[in-house]
Amino acid sequence: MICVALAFLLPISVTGLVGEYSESLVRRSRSTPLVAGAVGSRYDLVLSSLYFAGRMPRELSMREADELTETGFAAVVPVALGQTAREFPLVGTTPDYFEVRELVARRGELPLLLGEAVIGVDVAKQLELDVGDSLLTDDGSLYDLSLRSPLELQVVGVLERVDTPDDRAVFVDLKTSWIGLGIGHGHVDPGEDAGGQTEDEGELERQPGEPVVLGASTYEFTSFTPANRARFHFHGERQDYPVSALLLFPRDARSSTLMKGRYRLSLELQLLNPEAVVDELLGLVFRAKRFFDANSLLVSISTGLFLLVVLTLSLRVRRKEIDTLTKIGCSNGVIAGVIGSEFAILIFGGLALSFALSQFLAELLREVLLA
Amino acid sequence: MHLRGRVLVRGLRFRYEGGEFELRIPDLQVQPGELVACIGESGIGKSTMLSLVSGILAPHEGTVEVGGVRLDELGEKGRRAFRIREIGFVFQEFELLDHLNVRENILLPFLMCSALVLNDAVEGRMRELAVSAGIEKLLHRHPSELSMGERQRVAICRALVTSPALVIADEPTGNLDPETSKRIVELLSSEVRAGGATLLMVTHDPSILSSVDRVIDLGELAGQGA
Repeated sequence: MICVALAFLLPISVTGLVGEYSESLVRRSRSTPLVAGAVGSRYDLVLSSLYFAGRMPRELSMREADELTETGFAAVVPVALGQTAREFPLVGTTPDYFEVRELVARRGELPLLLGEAVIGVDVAKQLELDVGDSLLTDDGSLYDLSLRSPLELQVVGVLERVDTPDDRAVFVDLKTSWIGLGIGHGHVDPGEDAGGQTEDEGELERQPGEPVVLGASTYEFTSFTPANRARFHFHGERQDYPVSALLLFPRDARSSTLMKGRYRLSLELQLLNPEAVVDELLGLVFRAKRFFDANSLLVSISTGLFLLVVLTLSLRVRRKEIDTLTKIGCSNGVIAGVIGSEFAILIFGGLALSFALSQFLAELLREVLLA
Repeated sequence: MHLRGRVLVRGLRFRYEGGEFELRIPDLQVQPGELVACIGESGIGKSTMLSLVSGILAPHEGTVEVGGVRLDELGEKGRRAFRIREIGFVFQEFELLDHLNVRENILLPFLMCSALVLNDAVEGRMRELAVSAGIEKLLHRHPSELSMGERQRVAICRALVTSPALVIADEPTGNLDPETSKRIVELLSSEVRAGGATLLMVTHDPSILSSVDRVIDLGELAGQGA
């Protein structure tokens, strides 16, 4: 039974998982007409911007976002990725994201202010969070004191389930994600009473483009309150602030064509049709799966032959039992039924076990893939 | 006329495919309720005769009638159906099923044949037989946990649980020590008599012949037709 279960376990799991993921990948890619990102791996750009997975692509700046917005060809939704909150991807974006993705709040509300977070339904479930709770971003490194402390975000909304990566994401305002990157911060001014906190000793020397680094005794806000929200500020030009990708929703087919034409030869920016990239990616996956299926077929044939040997040996071992049943008058049908049903129990039990284990394995693979 | 358990064999000839030996039984009659032991040299065809009388084998010539039913006229399916209802078997090797417990082994014909209905009466008969055989406390054990004598007692209970008209016993004491053999044959004959059945038994053991009504020598029987 275990032999049968193991023979069918992987094919069932992989087929189920590939089917589930390909459907999910295609659905998501079709809902995003174009993605803009820095020139580099197409797969990384699409996977990270649409599925918040895979390696982070090179970053763009808000300058490119503004330029694309000014063309008037498309609605531009920037996404800033690369940070996490309790190991879920932290997505810095604008409220337009909820509109273009047709996300609605199950509880709470969607507007994002500084320090507020809207969480996907799986995040809420797994972390047992609800509106009014707080959520910490993950620290970059325990041993690098120059990195800022985790930010405490206020959960203001929980999204309705949509069965997309949005269910497993934490959405914050772009500015909040920039504060998480150290580009902006809020702190007590020198000499000001920090309410029992140490006083600011001023910013340490900082090179352009680097995160703001403060003295060791500086009290820097790590949570957001109505009172301190106005004290958060940014250094440098807004146009230089980073975003990971831009989701583009062209007004019409003509606008889409014009945009693609304008950036086709760009050395800095690439515009991709996610559906085409995902189709290409799935082509590779299905090619690999065909190889895997062929392997599974061989394993299944081997298992079948093995079962045949087991059946033959079983019949030989049980020859005397069969003879006894024949002598006392049992019909051939009953004898075949008894042996057949035992064999059927073996096979169907194995298949049932295989299905049960495949659910477990699929869940495991899902967690590994989402990690 | 009372035919239940009567055995009539006339002009029987049988030869195994490819074999040279031919069994001939010109005339054999066993009356209803009679206990008959069949003796003879090894290889003379005693077990073959039991297989023919019980319908396991079909004769090439001649007639085999049990309880008024011509087995030689029945097909394989019909003979099996007749066998499971009308004939009980006790084998030298006991032939119990190791994966079933004693109770299930005794009730095997009922478990394997939908024409036989397992009900409270049958369960009651099974228990009566188990008590008579002294194995009532072993019903939930498996054959591998029993002694040889206990196994044969289980086999006797299995042979009698359907209240058969004819009990066929092929060397029932062949694997038992003399003391156990004696007790087993006493049990078999008393239960067969109590059930009003006919017993046709093949044996090499002269010490058990006193328990039967008649002894026939197959060599002599076959010689009548030679």
